[in-house]
Amino acid sequence: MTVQTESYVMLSVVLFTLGAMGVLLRRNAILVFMSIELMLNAANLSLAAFAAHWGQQTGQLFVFFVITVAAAEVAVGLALIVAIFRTKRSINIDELHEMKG
Amino acid sequence: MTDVWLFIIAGAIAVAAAVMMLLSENAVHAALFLIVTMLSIAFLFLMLNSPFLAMIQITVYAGAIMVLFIFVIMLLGAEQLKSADPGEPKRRFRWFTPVALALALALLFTVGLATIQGNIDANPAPLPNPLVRAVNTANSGAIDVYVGSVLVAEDVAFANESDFAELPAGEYVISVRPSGGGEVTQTVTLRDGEVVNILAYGTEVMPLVAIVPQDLAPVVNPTETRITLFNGLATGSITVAELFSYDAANDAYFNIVASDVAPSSSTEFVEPSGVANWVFLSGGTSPEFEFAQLASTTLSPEHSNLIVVATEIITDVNAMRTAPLMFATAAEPMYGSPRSIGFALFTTFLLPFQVLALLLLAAMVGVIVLAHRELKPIRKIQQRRKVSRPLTDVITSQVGADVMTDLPQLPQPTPEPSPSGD
Repeated sequence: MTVQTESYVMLSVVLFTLGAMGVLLRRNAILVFMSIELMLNAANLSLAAFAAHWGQQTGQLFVFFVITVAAAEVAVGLALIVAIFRTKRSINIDELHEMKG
Repeated sequence: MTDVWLFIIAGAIAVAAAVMMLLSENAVHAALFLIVTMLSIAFLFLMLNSPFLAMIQITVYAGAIMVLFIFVIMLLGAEQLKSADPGEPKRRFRWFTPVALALALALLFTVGLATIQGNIDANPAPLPNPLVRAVNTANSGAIDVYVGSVLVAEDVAFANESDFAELPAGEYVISVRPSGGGEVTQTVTLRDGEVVNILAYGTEVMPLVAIVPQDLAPVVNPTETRITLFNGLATGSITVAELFSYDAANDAYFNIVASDVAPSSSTEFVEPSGVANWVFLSGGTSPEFEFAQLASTTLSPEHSNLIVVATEIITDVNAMRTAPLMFATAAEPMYGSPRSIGFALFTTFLLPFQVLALLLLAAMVGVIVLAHRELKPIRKIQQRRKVSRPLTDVITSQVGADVMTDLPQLPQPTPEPSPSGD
């Protein structure tokens, strides 16, 4: 008996929800970032599961692209966090409520 | 059943580590828990037949990206997530927590319900269209092959094959037309996912036509090769054995590759790849005589081989000989392997790949712009030299080197005569 695609999708949904909760509830910018990574991973898992289900590689290539874009996004995001930390001396996102630099 | 247990264990580890990441007070611990989640997702990728993705998940995600995270955490000294002064629990959005929880649970419920209602596993994957090609092993000149009204192959000479043509599934009338004129027709039903050779064979004026299915799927074991053997002789079944496996005591071949292939029929089997030395023997279970050899032929695991035992008429001397004709076709690359992903990246997905490269370049420039700190020009501290130079050096530098020699010398104290001089 093999694992059903449905199980993979359900696992991916659970991980995505955990990531979304992290984004909404945590106040530390780095933690928020890690939660976004978790959400991307969950989406990747469901893409790979559907690729295996349909026997098509396109899903896997999309996972490849997502991982690459995530790497770029992390680099830019962490640079932003460092820049914010320099001006505010804090990375608590509750304190980032003014648009003035 | 093992699959299910592995999935449950890996999934449970992933979810537990994700929850621990959300609850941990230390940012470094959170990053380490996220690495555990990513590693178990890499394991799930392996279970989903995507070894390449599993590898880049481990190297890029769990490796490079998380190193970056931990580096920034330690750089900012932000590992303690609690704020420094304990008497400051004032959060700007106190109403936010229950709303966020409710939203997240609503998301979980909705998507979960959609997944269960969607009944994904009831819809199996569609098969690709059938592939057709023409193979000519008949001694009646080059052939043209029509499937229905479509010209699939034109002017295929003896011992040659055409490229594969993709056709929609259905019932077709195949028409094989040798160059000398005339036509041989046959009805065939092509189903989705099939790979079919239209094989012309025989020594008569008009060729015989056989429909030989072939398996182009990759072999599971990379040291094996798929072989489809077709017996194109008019009479007599054939047996294939290893050349050096003749046992003189028992008068028998002990290493038989394929036995008793009836005329005009085919058989499929998997053989170890490498050099094949085969003899083709007539007869079934008790082979009688050897009529052809296939010596030092390399079988590659990346190919699916069609071997047709055919009779060739050598017109110069008006003689006949029997020869195994081999047609090696590139097998489909293994699903999800680095090779097949790389192939797709360089063909279908070349443009997205280039766009991605541009995006990465833009990200690089963005990082530099964001993290660049404007350095204030440091004022040079004008400082008087504390150590004064000897006076003679100053004079030398101002007047010139040759003045040095004319300088009046101070009277030097005469050295005392050494006691050894006496």
